[in-house]
Amino acid sequence: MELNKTVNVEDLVTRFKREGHFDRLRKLVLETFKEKESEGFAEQLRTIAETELEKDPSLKMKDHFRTAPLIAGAVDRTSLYENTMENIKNNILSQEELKVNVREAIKQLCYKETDGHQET
Amino acid sequence: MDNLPPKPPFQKPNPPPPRNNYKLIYDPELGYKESLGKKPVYRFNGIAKPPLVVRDPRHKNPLYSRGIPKSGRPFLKSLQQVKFEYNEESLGPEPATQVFVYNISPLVTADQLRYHFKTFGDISRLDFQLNPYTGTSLGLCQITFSKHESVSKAHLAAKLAVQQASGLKLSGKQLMVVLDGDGAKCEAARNKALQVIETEFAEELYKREQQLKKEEQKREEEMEATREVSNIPPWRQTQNNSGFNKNQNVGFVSSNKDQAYSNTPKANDTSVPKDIENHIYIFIDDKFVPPDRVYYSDIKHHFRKFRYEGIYMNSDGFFITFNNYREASSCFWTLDKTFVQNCRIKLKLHDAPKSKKNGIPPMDNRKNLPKDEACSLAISVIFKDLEEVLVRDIKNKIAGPCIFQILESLPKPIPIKEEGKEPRISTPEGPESIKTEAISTLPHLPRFKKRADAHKVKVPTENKIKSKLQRRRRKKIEARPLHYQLNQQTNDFSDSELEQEDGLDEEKAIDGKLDGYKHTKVEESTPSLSETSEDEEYFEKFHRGRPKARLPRRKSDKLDIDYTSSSETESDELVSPVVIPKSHIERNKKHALVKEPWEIHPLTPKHKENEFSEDGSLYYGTLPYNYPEDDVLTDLDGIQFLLKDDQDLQYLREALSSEDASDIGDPNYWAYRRKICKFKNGDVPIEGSPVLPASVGYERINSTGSAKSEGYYIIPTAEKSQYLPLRNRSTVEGDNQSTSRVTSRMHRVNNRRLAAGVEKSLLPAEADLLRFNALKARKKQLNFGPSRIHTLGLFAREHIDKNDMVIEYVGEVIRQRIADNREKNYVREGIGDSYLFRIDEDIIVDATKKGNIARFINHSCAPNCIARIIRVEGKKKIVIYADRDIMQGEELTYDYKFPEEADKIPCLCGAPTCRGYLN
Repeated sequence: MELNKTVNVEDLVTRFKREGHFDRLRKLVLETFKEKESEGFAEQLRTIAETELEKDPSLKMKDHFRTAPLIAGAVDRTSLYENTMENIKNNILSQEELKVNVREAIKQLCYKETDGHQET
Repeated sequence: MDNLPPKPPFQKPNPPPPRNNYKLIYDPELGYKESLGKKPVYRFNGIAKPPLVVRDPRHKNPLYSRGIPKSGRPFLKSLQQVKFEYNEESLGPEPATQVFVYNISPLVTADQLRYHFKTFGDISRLDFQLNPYTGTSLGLCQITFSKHESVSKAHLAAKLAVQQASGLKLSGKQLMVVLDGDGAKCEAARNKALQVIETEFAEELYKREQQLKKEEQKREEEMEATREVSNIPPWRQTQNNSGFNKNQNVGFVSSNKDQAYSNTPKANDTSVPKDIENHIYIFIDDKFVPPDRVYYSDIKHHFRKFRYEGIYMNSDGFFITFNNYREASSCFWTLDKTFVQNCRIKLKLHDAPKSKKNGIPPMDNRKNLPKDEACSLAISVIFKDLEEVLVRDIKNKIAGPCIFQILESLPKPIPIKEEGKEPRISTPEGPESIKTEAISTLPHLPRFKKRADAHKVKVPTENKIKSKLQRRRRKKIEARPLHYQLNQQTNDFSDSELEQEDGLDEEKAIDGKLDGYKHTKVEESTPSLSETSEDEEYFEKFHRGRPKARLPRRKSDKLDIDYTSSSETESDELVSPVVIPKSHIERNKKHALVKEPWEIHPLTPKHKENEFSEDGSLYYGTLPYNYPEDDVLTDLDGIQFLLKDDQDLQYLREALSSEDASDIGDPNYWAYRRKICKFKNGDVPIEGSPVLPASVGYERINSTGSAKSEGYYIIPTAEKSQYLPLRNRSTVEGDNQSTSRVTSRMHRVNNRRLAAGVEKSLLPAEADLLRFNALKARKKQLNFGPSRIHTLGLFAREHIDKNDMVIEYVGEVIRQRIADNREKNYVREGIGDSYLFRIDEDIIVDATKKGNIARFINHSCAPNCIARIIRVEGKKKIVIYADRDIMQGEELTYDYKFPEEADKIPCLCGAPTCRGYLN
């Protein structure tokens, strides 16, 4: 019993991902983000893009498929993503529901694993 | 032979069955011969009493060798054996075409083998067996002869190889060759050899381990002994436990740390990390490095040449950790038993447990945990991953589309921009194709677009139209191929500039309504240049009148306009653009006619009008049939064609009397420019217009019109080869100069005579040697410079006599294999020229990177030099000799004698006897 109590973390994580929990989680978070915060995010994006276009008016003349990556790069250079990630962390990921769900899933996996050990 | 010989008793058939092997040779009853007597003669078992003499019955006939008389069959001296080629119908296994060569000296290379076995037949494959561990030769080789021609030929070659190559001595070892059809022998031998190598390797490993163990044991014993004898500081006591018992080592180290530090006052960062066992390290026992003599810095200095990870120390000694095993082992082998501060150190190499592969220690620590901890850890890990993924998601799925949306929502760039783009896309193929293809298809394409534009433009103010049209024109011109632009420019400078000014003046005078159009019209003076814009104008006009007029109606519309334009030329608004130049023509004709009867004899504007209106067919003058605007315009040629007599001219003058004359300078010159412009655009066949010299093949037509403005470009050798021979003067026709001059050779001969007749008794090779040495000091004065043959060449700066040494070809002496490699590299580096000079089958002189100016000597099919390979002090050297007298300033050449190859290098030597190719 003592031995069985140890669980390999990596295995646990991979199992978690393999069973699709991770992707579900990811989708869920993204959806909630889209619902709640995407507008503000889009606004910020727009301002960044506009400043960028002002800086370099020639961008306007180019093909959209060319300007888009340039602007994306500019956005990368700002702290926009970090800030939004902070937001997500604080607002969405800190929701109790979510956490409980994840914990439950992991615990189940844990049990499975240890049970498997016991059986063998 | 009817009478049977008296049979021997038949009772005993069993014991000697050969008994009855009688043959009656002579029967006196059949024919009595006195020489043989009255008794019959028998032959028993092939033996007769008077011994039989067997003769070839053919010898009885002396004419037998002539063959059967009167038959064409030739006489065969010996029986012919029937041979069947092995093919797919043949039975049985294929005859062996592979040979297995063994007992090859390790010094022999695959190339050498190939060279030797090539003599027996074509080799399709040569598998030289190598030791997979070291890459050295195993002394085994499998050679497959090419079955390309026939299997039996390959088999023959293989047999020949076995016959002749067995016992051949190569690098001191006799080759053994056997037939090996399926390669089994080779495989077996290879496996065996590998096994031997592997066992040896294992043994060696084992031995080394044993030795290490022994040493350790010995050391342990020693330590035991010394510890018992003397009193040792407590930190030293640990080492007999910890030094070799790795599992306990860590524990001891940590427990003894304090003590250790009290004894060895050293910095903290050098203390041994706890997980030292997981590293690859070299351990120096403390007994070899007494702490009072060897310091940390000494060790550091001692190991400075190796890429160690860190040096740590504790009471046991020093630990030098490494990233990889190889570095550690190399360090171990070089520094073991060396001296540090006069202390001989013995190193101990420690490998990370379970080797280096799964050796990330922190993972191990974290891996297995009790359930609860694992859960929380897993959750944190998952969340971390989630964050990463989310950032990516947001970037791709939200931000990306968002940015696109923003871009889409932006006010679109000004339509003119787009407009500018469109013709750019459509025009590149335009000018050419318009000429070649039928009018019906292509011209529509731009027109539709233009018309739309025209609608837009309809209302805006005069200024706007003007600027817009100007801009549009600019764009169009840019979109045209270069030579069009060029023509445009020249026109601008020569006459249309003037015209423009004129036009502007006119504009001011005329009602402002259509100034803008006019302006452009005037500028687009070359017929072919004006096509697009002029089309526009038409359509604009059509659509004012009847906006629905489409393609099918086009022709008639045009006719309408033509009608108006030609009949009422005075109404400026409706004049098609090239009517303006026409008007100029008229005008200048007026000028011209005053001065001289110009070349235009026939003149009839009325006639033209009639032609247009009556049958709708058009006059082209000398224009090609589908000249785009010929349904509307006439250019100079057209007018020349139309105006048939003075009356015509008069009418024309009347028609154009309202037009102001514009200043076009010299009318002749103006007309010439028109024509040449037309000609250059390819609109006119050459006859009748200024004739260019016929193309010679190498005439380079510069797209910019000027070679100077082309910048740097490479003329392909194929092109060069067309004209170089004509200009090449590198070959001087032999004008043998007077022999009275004292040549350097004579000089030398005299010198030699003075130096006494030493060479009389010398062998030819040595004589060569002597000559070379004598010449060594007498290198000719040469310089290199741009050659007519190829890039750089070498030129004589003094007269060189026949048979004089010119220069030695100096370079790196390399083997064939290296040369092959280098050649590849050079090709890859883009060094197109080859400076490899083969001395013999395996020695090559490479002057590409290191060498003298001899490498600049070019090839010629009629060379003035010759390259000879001579021996100097046992070494082969390449020396270039003059093959004939060489004048000062003449380029030196010799025959490269390249082997023949599939892809030919063109020869540009320009000699009359040129072969055309180097190879």
